[in-house]
Amino acid sequence: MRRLFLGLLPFIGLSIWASPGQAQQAAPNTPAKAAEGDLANEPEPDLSSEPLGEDPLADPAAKKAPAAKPAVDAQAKAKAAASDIVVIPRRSFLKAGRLELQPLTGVSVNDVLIRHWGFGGDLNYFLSEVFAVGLQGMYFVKERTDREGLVGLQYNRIATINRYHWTAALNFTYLPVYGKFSLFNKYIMHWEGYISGGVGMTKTEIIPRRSQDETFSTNAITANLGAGGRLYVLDWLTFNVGLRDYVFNDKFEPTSRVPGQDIATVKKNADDQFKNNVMLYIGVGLYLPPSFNYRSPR
Amino acid sequence: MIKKTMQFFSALVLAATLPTVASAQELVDRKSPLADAPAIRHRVELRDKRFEAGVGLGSSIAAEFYHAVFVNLRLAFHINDWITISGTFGQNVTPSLKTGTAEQLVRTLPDSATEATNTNTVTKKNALGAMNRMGQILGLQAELSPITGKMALFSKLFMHYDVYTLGGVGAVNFTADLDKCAMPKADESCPDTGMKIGANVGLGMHAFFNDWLALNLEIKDMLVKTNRAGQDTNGDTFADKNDLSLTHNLIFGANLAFFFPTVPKITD
Repeated sequence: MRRLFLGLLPFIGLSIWASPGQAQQAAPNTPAKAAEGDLANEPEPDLSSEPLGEDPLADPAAKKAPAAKPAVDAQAKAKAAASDIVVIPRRSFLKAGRLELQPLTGVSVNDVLIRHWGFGGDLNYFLSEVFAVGLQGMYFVKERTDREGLVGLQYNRIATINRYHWTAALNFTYLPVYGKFSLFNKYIMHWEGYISGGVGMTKTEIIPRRSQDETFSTNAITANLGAGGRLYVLDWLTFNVGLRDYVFNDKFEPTSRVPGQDIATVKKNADDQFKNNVMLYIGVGLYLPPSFNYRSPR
Repeated sequence: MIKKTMQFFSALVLAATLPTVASAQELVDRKSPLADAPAIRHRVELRDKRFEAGVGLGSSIAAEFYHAVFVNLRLAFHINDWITISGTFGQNVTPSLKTGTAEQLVRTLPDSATEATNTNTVTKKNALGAMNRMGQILGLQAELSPITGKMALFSKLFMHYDVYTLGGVGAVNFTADLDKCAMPKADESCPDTGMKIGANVGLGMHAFFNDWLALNLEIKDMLVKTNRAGQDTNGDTFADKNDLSLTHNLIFGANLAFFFPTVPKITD
């Protein structure tokens, strides 16, 4: 009988111990879920607060009773240890070592007499997450504005304007801004901002005041400076927007031109003027390789 | 005796096991505390029910004849986190800042009517005097902020920001150097001046330096009917109200915005 009692004793002990043991297993749910929330929420985790509110299963008497000093110390240590853990969400999009092919279209925004629509592309290679080197090319289609048409009617004058044919540039890009936003507090999206500069060439051509006159072209060395942003959509796709100022020394039809004058003389007498061609453009970034891997596990 | 002892201990084992089973059942039935939780906890409500007062500078974009640099004032009340009503005022402080187009055009015009080769050619004085410029701008608009977020500059400086669209009523007070018509056959005053009321649409953002100070950037289009040149536009040889057309007056503004109360609410 005594042997039977001694034999059952460990089993009883095990059964009684199992209850609190299982309850303790449930507890880690709390910080794990809180961490999930913090990843989405992005602010640094406030582990000192009770993220899930009061535990309905907690003993109210125990909550009201003043905690013993050793327990407070242990809690403080736990908090200190927890505060050392910083949750850093990973970048949602990696670019280092990838190639971006960006078809783009844009419009000039600073000339009141002639507007240029641009169609072209960017080819950027990302040396790191924040540096890229790339080539850009754009073909222009001209559109005369209403104001240009009114100059003749209102002032009895014909505007001296040039059209742009194309531009090409070697650009360097730096990405100092990284951000995220929530759309209606529901969808979280990531984006980046860049500044970019480079040098290249722009081909321009005069629009003669007398339509039957000969024209000449100019290949102007062009510096450019721009800024913009990318919105990450998929692992291989971004929506891009940018504003870029192309600065070059352009040659305009001289006001002293007389009918029948040799075009070489006309070009020689051309009026030089520094021009800014500010283009606002949008594009889609297509990335190769189309996917990326993180170097460390989540 | 043995049988009774066995029954006693069996009951004891069952009693000890029961709470375990009940606890597991509770866990199965228990709803996740995060099931209906908001997307963002402890969110700093930087806009909700706060007043905003801003002061700064603005500039016209792609102006035809006169650039305008404005001193801006902005007052706003954020009804909640994403709806705002606001009023803006801008005073042009560079009324004589001509564009390159205006300067080049005027350079080619005759100084006096006797110098003109064509009787329809306006003189420099009349051309410049009839061109209007924005004197003051006013806007009363509603703003919608669907985008709120956080950004890092150089991975060091972290800022909350929001992006909003705006729409409402806009008014531009145009002024000109001449108060009479420069056109030879006009039946009304040609320079189109005075307060013009129209629409006002745009985009803006706040980038918060702290809980109460933000950089407010805004680009808006004041759509009003006017005749910028004060000249004939429809070919009937004189300028009148039939020459008015809807014009886009693009304005960029940068303000420092102060938020009140200075301490925002923080959500649960």
